[in-house]
Amino acid sequence: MNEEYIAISIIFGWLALTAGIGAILTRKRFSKYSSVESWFVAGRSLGLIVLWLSLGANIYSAYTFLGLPGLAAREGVKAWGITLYGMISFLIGFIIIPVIWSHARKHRWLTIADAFEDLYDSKLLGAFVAITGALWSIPYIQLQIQGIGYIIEAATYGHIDPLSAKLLAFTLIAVFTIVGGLMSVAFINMLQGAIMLISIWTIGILAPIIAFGGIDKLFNILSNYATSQPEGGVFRLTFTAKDLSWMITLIAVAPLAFWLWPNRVQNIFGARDVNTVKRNMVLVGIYQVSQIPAILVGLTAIALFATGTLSIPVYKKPESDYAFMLVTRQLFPPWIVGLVGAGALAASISTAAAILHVVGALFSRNAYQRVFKPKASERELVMLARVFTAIIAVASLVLAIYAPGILIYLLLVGYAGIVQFFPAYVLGTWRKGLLTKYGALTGMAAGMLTVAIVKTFLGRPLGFYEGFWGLLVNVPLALLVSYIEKKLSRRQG
Amino acid sequence: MASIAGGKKNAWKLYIILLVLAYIPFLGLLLSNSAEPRIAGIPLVWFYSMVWVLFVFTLIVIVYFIDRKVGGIIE
Repeated sequence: MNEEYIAISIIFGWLALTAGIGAILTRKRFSKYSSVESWFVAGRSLGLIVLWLSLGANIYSAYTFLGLPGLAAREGVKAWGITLYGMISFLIGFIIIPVIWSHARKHRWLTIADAFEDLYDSKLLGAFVAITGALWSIPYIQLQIQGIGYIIEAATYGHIDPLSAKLLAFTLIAVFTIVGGLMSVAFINMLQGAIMLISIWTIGILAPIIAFGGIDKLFNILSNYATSQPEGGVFRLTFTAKDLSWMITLIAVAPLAFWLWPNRVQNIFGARDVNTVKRNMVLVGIYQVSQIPAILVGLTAIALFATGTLSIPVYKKPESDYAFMLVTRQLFPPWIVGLVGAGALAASISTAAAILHVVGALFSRNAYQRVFKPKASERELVMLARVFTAIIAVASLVLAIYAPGILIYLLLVGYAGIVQFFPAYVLGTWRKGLLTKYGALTGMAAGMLTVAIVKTFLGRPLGFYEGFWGLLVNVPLALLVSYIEKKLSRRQG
Repeated sequence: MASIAGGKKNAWKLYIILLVLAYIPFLGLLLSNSAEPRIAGIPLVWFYSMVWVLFVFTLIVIVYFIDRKVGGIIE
């Protein structure tokens, strides 16, 4: 059998198996599937192991498997910024998530938009968070479509072209999103978690040893490469001043957004009890340590290119994002390519499906029902959630085809947008009354607009992360508008 | 009752200190931003960054055990 058939057969065989099991479990155990509550949080019944593996696979997808090795291959030392902000996010998560969970339980919040609606007693604010949360999720879904496309391309050894691979990726995501809600996604995620951990550690540790005989020899090659890289190469073994500005603003800002992604909020709200959530913070930290071997794979890719073993220029974009799959293909037999591809691909699909479920639910419940049609039936809400989900998915596909980006930076743009929720959320919870609803709304909108302008036109001034610039505008404006609003209402009162 | 409330308040303070500790190594990064010397074949700044990641993970584990001792920071 040809190598491409072996790899791709394993990938699609695994997908069929997980989809089949997910579908059967969904039918047998969750017959009340059309209920809005179970669509949203799977009846708050996820246990420790399921939640841990589900959360891990939900957090780590094409981003860790492809994006991080890609960044390490292309830009070198900057990859540590990604691993660090992730790890700090778990520390922050441990401190704030029990509080978030407790509030959600007490006030029966199902979505992040519910929280804003309740905190500021404003349906408008809830709808704003629902819609912007969905829009900032687009880059996250786009990166999954691109990533899945890259895996398919690499696993078929180039027999499927990039456009067809992306279309196939989109189809797979659509099928898995339609098949089930959070519980089936969580079950599939649980299986992915196991495959992912094993493959990332195995490939990460073995690749430099098989290719060069050890990590020290890998860095010998990289030292030479860093001083004589081809034109357009931006690989560095040490940080520049701009890298350090980027890194400090990234690790200060991105962790604040980590737990505000609509799909992660849903995972937290879906937890059985607060102790489960807290234990997960520690256990999921183990996944974050797994980013270290992922970085090693990226370095192996660029070193293989530097020594002429790999002909594909992984220092360029988008080729850098193929680094993980190229290394696996170069150094391991096709059945391992298939297994790794299956784990990464399925994790990416389930991540995209989980996000799509949530954004659809957010729109139907917190925008359509609350603002436009309070008496909408459950059936109507579920239908509308699916329509909105389809719109977001198609928008992500169009961007993946016509405006593909570097995987890591796609997600970081999403983070920069989502973090604009943070000040209003925290101040609304701990300093109630400091921000008014219009203050919160103006601050978040201005912060998001700033992120879009900085990203599109200004190209990260001073090296600062886009989300940082957004917050610099968001917080003062939110406070100013709140002050004016309170002053005006006192005069009128 | 008062001692539980006091314990939770102290736990909050401790969490904040641990959070600050997670960022302190950035200062050391400025000093260790060099490819030489190598430690176990790994350039200094890479080794330092890796240790920083593991250090933050250790802080998470510490927070977990403190939290278990004081019975959590939420009622």
